[in-house]
Amino acid sequence: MMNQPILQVKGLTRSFGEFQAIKPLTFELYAGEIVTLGGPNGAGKSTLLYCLSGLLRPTSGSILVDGYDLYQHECQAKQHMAFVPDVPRFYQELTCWEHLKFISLAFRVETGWEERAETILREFDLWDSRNLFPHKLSRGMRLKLGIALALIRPFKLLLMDEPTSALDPAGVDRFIEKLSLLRDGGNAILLTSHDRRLVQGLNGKLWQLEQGNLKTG
Amino acid sequence: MDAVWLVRSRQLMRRMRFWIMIVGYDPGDRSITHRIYLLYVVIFFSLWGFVVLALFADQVAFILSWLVRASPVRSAIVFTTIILLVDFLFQCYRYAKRSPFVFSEDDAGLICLTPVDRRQVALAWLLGEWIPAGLPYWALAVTLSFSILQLTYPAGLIAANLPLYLLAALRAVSVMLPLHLALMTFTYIFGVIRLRGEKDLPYLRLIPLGVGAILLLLSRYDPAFLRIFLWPLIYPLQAGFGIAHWLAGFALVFLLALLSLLLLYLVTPRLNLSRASQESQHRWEFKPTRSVRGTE
Repeated sequence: MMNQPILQVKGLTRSFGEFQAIKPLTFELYAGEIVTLGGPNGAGKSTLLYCLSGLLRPTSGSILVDGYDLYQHECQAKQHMAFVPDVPRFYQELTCWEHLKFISLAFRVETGWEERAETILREFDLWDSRNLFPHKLSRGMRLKLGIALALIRPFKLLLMDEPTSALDPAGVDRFIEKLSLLRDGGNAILLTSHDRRLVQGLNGKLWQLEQGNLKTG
Repeated sequence: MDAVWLVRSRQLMRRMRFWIMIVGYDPGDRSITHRIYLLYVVIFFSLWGFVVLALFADQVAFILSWLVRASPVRSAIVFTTIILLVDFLFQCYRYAKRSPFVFSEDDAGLICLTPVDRRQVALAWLLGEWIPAGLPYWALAVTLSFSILQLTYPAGLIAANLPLYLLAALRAVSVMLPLHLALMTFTYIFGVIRLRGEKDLPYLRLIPLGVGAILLLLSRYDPAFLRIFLWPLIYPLQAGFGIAHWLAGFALVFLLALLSLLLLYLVTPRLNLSRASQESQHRWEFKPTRSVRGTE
């Protein structure tokens, strides 16, 4: 384990008007850790991931990714982070291949991304659909493309919201293998899931979020 | 190609495709007849625009001729200056509260989550919005230049005067284009200053209000000083409407536009795209998103 946590969350809260969706949370995630966040619907799991990814600003608290504050040093923090939401967003104007090109260029991977993109697309059975626009894909394929977009970039922290919700059983098995490899490669992974097979397969830590309170035991 | 321009150029092309499809052109049809049709559409709408603005110019000329205290050209310059300044201060006030950059949900989930060069994002989004935001001003400049000609040549828009009208329109637009770009860029700079890092800077919105109040007071008590203060705005307009040297006016406004773009380039490296995208998409929760590191 490295000394510096990859993800450091201090006193994070998020309120929607009077409703406090996330009660003060403080936790750390280190390299080589996989944490699955469980909890009932409406517990605040997605809200937490949205806050951690930068899609939703916390009401209070701070988020440090590899030592960089997500709002003070946004670029440096985002350089080390990948987020797969439960419903990934895509540009209507770009094909699957162009999405991979876009993400690679955005993360300054200007050489060799084509080989990497091909490998990832083949792993996720998307190679034949590379020239299609994402809105032509099925829900499961769109989710796979969202995961592919996360994996093509260099990252230290991977955040995923219900990543197996639309994957077939074979896809889930491959996904578990992939995540295990990423963990062994020294990445920190935080994901939300109700999928018991995934939780057991990953053999990582299981945290519970209930009514905005986190139980890390 | 840079990641930002890869996305932005496609978005702008899609927007343009929407407009050409509205006039019945199918971008997928690459036949010669279809291309001739596109040429016809462009010519038709150019002529239509010209005629409509000339018609408006008739009414505006009538109004300008009623303003007896100043010459029609000076009235046109004062009117344009007021419109530009009011819009400039209003936009500054808006951008002191919310992001000047409007990102779609797709942008929020993709480009705003990447470490792309913020300077490129700022330039690409500014230039993408410049043409739609500038169109009313370009139309205003052309209309006013036509109105001035109507008052100078009572025969109006006859065939013999057509070159004069075209030249006046070109002269006015050539100045208004970079002038509007410069002013718009300055408003974006104002918005970017607030969106750097995580600070909110609530006092920023007082600046346009204060500047507006000072301008009003100056117009009442010291108009001579106000003219000097607004010279970088007034002189190019004089050049555009034909009472100052065109090249000098154009050069001034071109330099202003360049300076504004350079300043935008300098202030944007720390532009926070998370904040900008949230202010685009989640306006209903904008107030809570502003307070960070406080305690609930």
